[in-house]
Amino acid sequence: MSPTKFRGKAQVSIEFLMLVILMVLIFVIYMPFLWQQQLDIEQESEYLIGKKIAISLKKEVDTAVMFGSGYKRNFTLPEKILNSDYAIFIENKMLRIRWKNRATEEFLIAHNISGSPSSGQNTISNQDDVIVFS
Amino acid sequence: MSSAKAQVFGPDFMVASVIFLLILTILQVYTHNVYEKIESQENMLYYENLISTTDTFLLYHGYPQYWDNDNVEVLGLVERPNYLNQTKVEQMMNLTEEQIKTLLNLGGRSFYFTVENGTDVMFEKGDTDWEDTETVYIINRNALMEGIQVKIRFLVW
Repeated sequence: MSPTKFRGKAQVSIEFLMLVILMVLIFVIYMPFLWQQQLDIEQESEYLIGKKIAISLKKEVDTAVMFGSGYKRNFTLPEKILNSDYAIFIENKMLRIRWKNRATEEFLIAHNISGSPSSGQNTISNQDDVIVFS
Repeated sequence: MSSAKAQVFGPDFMVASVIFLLILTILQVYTHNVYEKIESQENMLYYENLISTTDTFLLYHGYPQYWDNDNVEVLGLVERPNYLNQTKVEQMMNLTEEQIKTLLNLGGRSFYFTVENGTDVMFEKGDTDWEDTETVYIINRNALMEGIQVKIRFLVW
């Protein structure tokens, strides 16, 4: 093997190494950014589903209030928000959907509410202007 | 020596680099599209909710049924569906913008509300500085008030 060939091989190895390092560096810099974006998308998707549940419940309550006494309807809420369990609270006309460490709220027009809705099958009724969940 | 250099910086390397950058670009474009889709769904959801809130105005008498500025808990402007009660509209005009925002759960958003009889604005409330805002939600509804047809306009931004 001639000395020229040795020099050529060494140079190729160093350049190749530098290029690999450069690509790995780009990936290392880019990955946390990409990871954060995926996390944001997941959180936003969860929020969107949570908000949809809150709005659909608000509509159910509004309809029951405006229809008046004698109204009754069955409806179904999703079992989970993506992969998370969620809880529904109603307090002082404020409907709150909570999952993980996040929550969304909607204002209800109902003055008297008895019971609480939950994921899955629910029945809403208006009994003498009291909104009853069962 | 020149042929050895060509092994790293040659066409193979160029193709590999282009593929690498292409993958990163595709990932970024995909993420951007997902963001846009979510934002669009959020806007649609907000608009849908706003329509529901506005319908409450026109289908519900509010709470208490004969509410006034001191005891209003739920804002409703009708005495029966789509029949505006002028006294309630006048009472609403006496509420502060902050009170109305709270009652309608508008959060930090601004609103502009009018009742028009076809030629004149009979009642108006809220801000009118929506020109520079990105999205304005507009809801128009027809109703009756004191026997005449009126148009209700509700803008939120």
